[in-house]
Amino acid sequence: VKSDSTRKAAPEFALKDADGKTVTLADYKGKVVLLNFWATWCGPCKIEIPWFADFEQKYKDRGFAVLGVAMDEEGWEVIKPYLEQSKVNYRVILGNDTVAGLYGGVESLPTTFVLDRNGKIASTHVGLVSKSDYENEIMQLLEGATSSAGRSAVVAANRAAN
Amino acid sequence: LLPLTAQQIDFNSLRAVVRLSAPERVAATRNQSVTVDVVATLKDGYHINSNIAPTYPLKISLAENAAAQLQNVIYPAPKSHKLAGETLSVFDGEFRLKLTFKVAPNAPIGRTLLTSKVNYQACDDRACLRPDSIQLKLPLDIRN
Repeated sequence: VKSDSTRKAAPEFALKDADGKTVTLADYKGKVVLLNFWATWCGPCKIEIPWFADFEQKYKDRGFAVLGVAMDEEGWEVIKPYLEQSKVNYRVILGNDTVAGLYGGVESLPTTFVLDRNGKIASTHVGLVSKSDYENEIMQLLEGATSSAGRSAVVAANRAAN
Repeated sequence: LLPLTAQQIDFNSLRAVVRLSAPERVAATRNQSVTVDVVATLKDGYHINSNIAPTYPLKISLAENAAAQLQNVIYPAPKSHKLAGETLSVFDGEFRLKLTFKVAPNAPIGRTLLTSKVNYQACDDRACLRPDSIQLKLPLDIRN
């Protein structure tokens, strides 16, 4: 992950979830957030989604949350059946071009941002990344390890656990 | 069939995954059907949904033109591509499309520009690009 001093604030947005409830980034204040732009027509995205569901289950009690931003132009009609079928256990909101623009355009899916507890972007991933890479970053941010020694210790511990 | 020439059409540099090659121009008479070969070349490692894929299939449509209509498109046989437990119907590498245009009986004599829109959605094994479209511009000389 980036060092604290180089992290920029994640742009705020207000998007609706499947129940029509407005969700903002401010709702996640104090949490480490994995913000994942995806779509039902994106094969590589579907590889990651079970990992994210696993992270949600493992780390939600430690101040972590996954927030999916679905970019399907057809909207909930195609997203809801997929979420049910895939047993997605985290919150998903419907994205749009305006919000994608705030995050650099998101021309490629998946695009994922890992945010620290202060709502700053600690890492950005365009395309499929390994599960262990994500998990190492989440662990670093949850444990607040920012020094290289701390990061190495967390990575080593995580590798040993896997 | 008309010979392919070196008309290279590059589009949308940020997301340039599909390149089309078509004849520099086509000639036909009124009421005639004319078939044009278009070669599509995909960036290495990428595939696009085939014309029979359930989501965002490859689709070609002709912009409104009183001189001609797009009568038929022949696509190659799609390939199967497995990803994330699903079998996708795709095109990759280089493939040939056959577009047949029907010239209207009352089409004006002279040159007209046939502008076709090619809708596609491309992925490699790590990421997918959002659905996009490119234009294929084909000058058609209508003769007596």
